[in-house]
Amino acid sequence: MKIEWLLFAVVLIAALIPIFRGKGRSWRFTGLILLGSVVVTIAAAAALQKQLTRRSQLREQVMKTLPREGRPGGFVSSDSCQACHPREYHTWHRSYHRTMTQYAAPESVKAKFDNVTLEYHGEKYRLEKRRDEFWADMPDMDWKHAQMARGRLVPAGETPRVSKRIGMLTGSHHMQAFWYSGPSGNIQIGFPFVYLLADQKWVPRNDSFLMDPALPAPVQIWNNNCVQCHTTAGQPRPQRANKTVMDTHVAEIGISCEACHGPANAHIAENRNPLDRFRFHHSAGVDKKIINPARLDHRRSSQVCGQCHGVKWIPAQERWQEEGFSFRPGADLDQSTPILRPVKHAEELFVKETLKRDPTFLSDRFWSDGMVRVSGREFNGLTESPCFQRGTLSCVSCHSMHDSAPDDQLARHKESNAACVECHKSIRVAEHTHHAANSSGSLCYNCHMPHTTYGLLKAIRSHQIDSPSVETSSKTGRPNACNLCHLDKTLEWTSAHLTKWYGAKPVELSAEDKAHSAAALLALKGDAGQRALIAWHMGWKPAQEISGRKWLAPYLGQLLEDPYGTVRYVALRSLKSLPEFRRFEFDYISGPDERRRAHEDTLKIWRDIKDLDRTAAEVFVDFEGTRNEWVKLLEQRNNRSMYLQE
Amino acid sequence: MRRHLKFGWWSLLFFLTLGIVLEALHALKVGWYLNVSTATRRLLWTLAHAHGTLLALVHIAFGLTIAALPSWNARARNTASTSLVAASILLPGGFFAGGIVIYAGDPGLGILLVPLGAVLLFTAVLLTARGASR
Repeated sequence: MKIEWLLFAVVLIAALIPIFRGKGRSWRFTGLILLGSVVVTIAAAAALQKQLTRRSQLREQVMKTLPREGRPGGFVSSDSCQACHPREYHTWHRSYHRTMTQYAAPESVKAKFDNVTLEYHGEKYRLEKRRDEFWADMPDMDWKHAQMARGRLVPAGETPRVSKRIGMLTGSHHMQAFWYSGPSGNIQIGFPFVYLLADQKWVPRNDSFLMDPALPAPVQIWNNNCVQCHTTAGQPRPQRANKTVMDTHVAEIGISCEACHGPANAHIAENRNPLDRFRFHHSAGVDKKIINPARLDHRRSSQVCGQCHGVKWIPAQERWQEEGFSFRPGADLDQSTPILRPVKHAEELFVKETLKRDPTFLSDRFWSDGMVRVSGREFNGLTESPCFQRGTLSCVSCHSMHDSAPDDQLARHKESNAACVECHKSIRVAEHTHHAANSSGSLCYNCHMPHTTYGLLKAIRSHQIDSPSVETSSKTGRPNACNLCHLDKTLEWTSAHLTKWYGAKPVELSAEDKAHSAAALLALKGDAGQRALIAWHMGWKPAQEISGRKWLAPYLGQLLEDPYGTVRYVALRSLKSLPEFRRFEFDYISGPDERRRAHEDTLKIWRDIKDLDRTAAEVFVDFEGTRNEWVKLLEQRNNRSMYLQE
Repeated sequence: MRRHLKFGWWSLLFFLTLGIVLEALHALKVGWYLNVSTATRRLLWTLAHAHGTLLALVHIAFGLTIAALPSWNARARNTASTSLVAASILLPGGFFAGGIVIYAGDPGLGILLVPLGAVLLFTAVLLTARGASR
């Protein structure tokens, strides 16, 4: 502050000297006017200084309660990258990696905060935007948890209230989740609501995950969970004496350059000299002080993504808590944070110990044959793929951070079969697929990477490159690619075609699987994860075009009554993709009575549709006539408790 | 006239030197000038360099204008002259000082000298224009 005032005074005095050296009464008069202006300027400066100082102090106070940017290890943050890499900086800057975690500010918060009141389990949450700050008036959850720890259950509405400032947020693409500071250190606790961006709607956090509604709402702590993947080089840093007090540091709050390229300090120091830089630009050399994932072999390159996009286990827990992950791009991820592969690691001690603590750890993340089933874990799928194991497929074979649109970050020209025929040059696509060229059945992705992964309120392509198999569908419950497009067809139909076209072994199927559509059976009898996938595919345009649309509404209407909020959400979105239901209104977090009404309304609209495009008993389309069977199937529904850990 | 020619050429030298310094900061990729978080400083020092250089040229032009207007009213001429000198210190000086200590997207206190300088520059140019019109 002192230097500012000194400079201010020096410049001002230097300017005033020539004025007051002027001669004559009239010039003195002008000089006095100027002096007046100067006094006003000084007063304005003093007021501005006071405001800036106060703002700075307040900001400092708030920042103390938030995870801090800046940590040892040679990290410099993306701040320093733009000067030399403007194009890469710009493409990263518009990506959703950058905004994975942000401090709460008007430019980052997209949710509505003005005079919003939410309710959850009988408690009210009032949101408010105060100038640049975001606040929640809410029940004091610290107090409530303390009471519960003493065995006292506090009735709804009796918890004292507290005002909490929202300090951070996660996400900017599909939804935003919010965090407020805990009682000590810079611990961040999850606010129990998330904001769905497409719907512009606040929903309870539990209803944005595929989670058994009967399970208690978990208390989310950002510092030892989300920090692993949603920041760059995070260090949880709990206090040794009291592990609930944290002093979390990160290299950068979002996922930034150094997450993929490694710490940049040495790279910057090496390249300060412009002559060295010009020499380098005109040589074929590689800067060894920084990593370019595109230049690594396919395994090490994919591990750069896999450090976050994988289910991993942390062998040295204490060290990770204190220092963060020791993995750096270019190194072997398996040496520090191995990726969990159920097929390979099933008998390992760490898996057994994990399952003792959490029996559903594997089933919450994998299908029973070890294929990953949740979003954000694409590396698990890739590592099990023959193209990776026997070929050179890597993440950057199809994705690009710096030459792609922000959605999915598929590299240019990789939306089509171009990605696959680079290696599979001899394939004649239509001949291979037995589908018309340029149809959805001839898009490699649709058969070999079907949408059997769930996350972010949608089905996502599996990244384990695989071929459709009825045997696998029967054993694991995972729908196969054929029946996810041909929603109206049975497993027997699929099996017959796979046998005829590809020599697949015929599969023993139940009478039910022979008689009825696989998708219809899963929609009624499947577990919540299966129901969500089917509900999504009922809104998927290629599936609607092939399978017909007019028989789908009763299923989607049925799923509006599903006990899982996310299944209802996905079903509603698919229902609204049908022409007759575009204006259908339903609040997917409403209670059982509203859900039943929504189901009935769906059927009313559906019954008015003439010329249904499917009449086969395969899809139970004659609703009235086959009601008994429908009810029977619902009674057989797999109601196992699920919580897909996306 | 001589005063302005002297002031003009010396301040031109000074601000051209500043420009060379700023270019060197680019060449050497100096973080406190080029980082994203210091964009405000980069903008303000660029403005300081630009205004200082241009005002130096204005001084040279003013010096030549005085020689070309021997009948220009002395009082108006002296006021214009002093205002121009003061503006030439306040404008680039204010920009530069405002870029030394910055507050994220906001400049430091020095920026408040810029409007003062702008008023003085306006006064100088107005008086010169009037003098040239008579």
